[in-house]
Amino acid sequence: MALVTERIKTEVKEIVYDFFADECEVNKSEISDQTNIINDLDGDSLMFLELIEIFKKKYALEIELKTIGKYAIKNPVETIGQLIDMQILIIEHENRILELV
Amino acid sequence: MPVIKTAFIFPAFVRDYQDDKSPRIENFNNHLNHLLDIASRVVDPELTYFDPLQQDFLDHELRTQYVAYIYGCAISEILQQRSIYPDFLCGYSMGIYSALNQGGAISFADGLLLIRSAFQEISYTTMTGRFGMAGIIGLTESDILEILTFFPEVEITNQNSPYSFVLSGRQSDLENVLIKAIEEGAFHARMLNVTVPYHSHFLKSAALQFAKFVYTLDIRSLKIPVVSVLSQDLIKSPEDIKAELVENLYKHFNWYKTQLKLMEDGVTRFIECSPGKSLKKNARTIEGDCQFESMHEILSR
Repeated sequence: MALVTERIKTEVKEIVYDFFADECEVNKSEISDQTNIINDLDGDSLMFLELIEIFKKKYALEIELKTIGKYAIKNPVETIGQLIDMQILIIEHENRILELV
Repeated sequence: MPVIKTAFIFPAFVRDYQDDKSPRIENFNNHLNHLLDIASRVVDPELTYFDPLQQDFLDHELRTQYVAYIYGCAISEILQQRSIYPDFLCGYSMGIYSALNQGGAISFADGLLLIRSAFQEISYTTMTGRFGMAGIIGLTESDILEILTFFPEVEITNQNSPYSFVLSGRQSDLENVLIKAIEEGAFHARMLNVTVPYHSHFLKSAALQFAKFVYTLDIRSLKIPVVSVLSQDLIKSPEDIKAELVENLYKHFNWYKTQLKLMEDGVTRFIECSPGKSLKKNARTIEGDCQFESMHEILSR
């Protein structure tokens, strides 16, 4: 289990905001934690997949995608804030994230 | 300076016209209307009334193929008028017809007739059952194959990326596969808006009938290389083209490997010749030094 510091939390938030601003061609200032990924940004599951790959590489995470999928079924992500929270949990717990369900 | 190689890529269908800013693009509308006019005389008079702003024909499986083909040809030709030339051409699934037309192997009218003939043969073959295709994102191929041991008639018919697959089969089987896929941790699993199990064994007899039409056509040698999505090899002779057209109906393809092969061959720029950007979106997880551009991004410059 990794220790997630405030610095990492800030970094995760920054990456997520930058990612969606770039992918969805919107100004970063238009995104907030309450922004709905599908309805407001026209986001999709491929973006989600790409973002997870970015975090897997950046933090050398040992986690299978399907583990995240199983977690997401019980903890659906709709907003940017929820996505950031889930990402932090993934960094913290990796494959053991399902034990939180 | 490194040489930039460009591939024009053509989708099979149009999902939406959200990226179509063509009214603002000089010359494009005139050319599109010209091709629509020809198509309306060759295969379907309704094409005269096509209006992208009305999101026309998206639920009409045959007309959306015609529209994808017409857009593909129109965009490719306008790009070349602007001195943007392809080093390679490649069609995603039924996008092969645009690629072959732009490569100089078939006439514009023959491309339309091929689409109609394939669709007619497929419709006869599949009229006795309910079929379809589905997309699964977030599982590996081996995860999906494990699920398919319980559904032997469902096939993985295309791979878009390491974690994105397309399946074909009977609709009821596919619906059950999707339920299992979600249980197994897929991020996304849904039926696609088609009623035909393209690229599956179900279409083999349709392909044999389609071959009778294919072999009546005057198919010429390619002037621009076209890459096979079935084998990832260059399609060389007219005989190869005929075989590819027939096999393209019932054999699996691999879009992911095709993109990687093009990159191996030096392609760093992919231009999607369609009013949407589904192929560009698909390419998000492709690693490497390359860029994917949509019609709007290029033509509006």
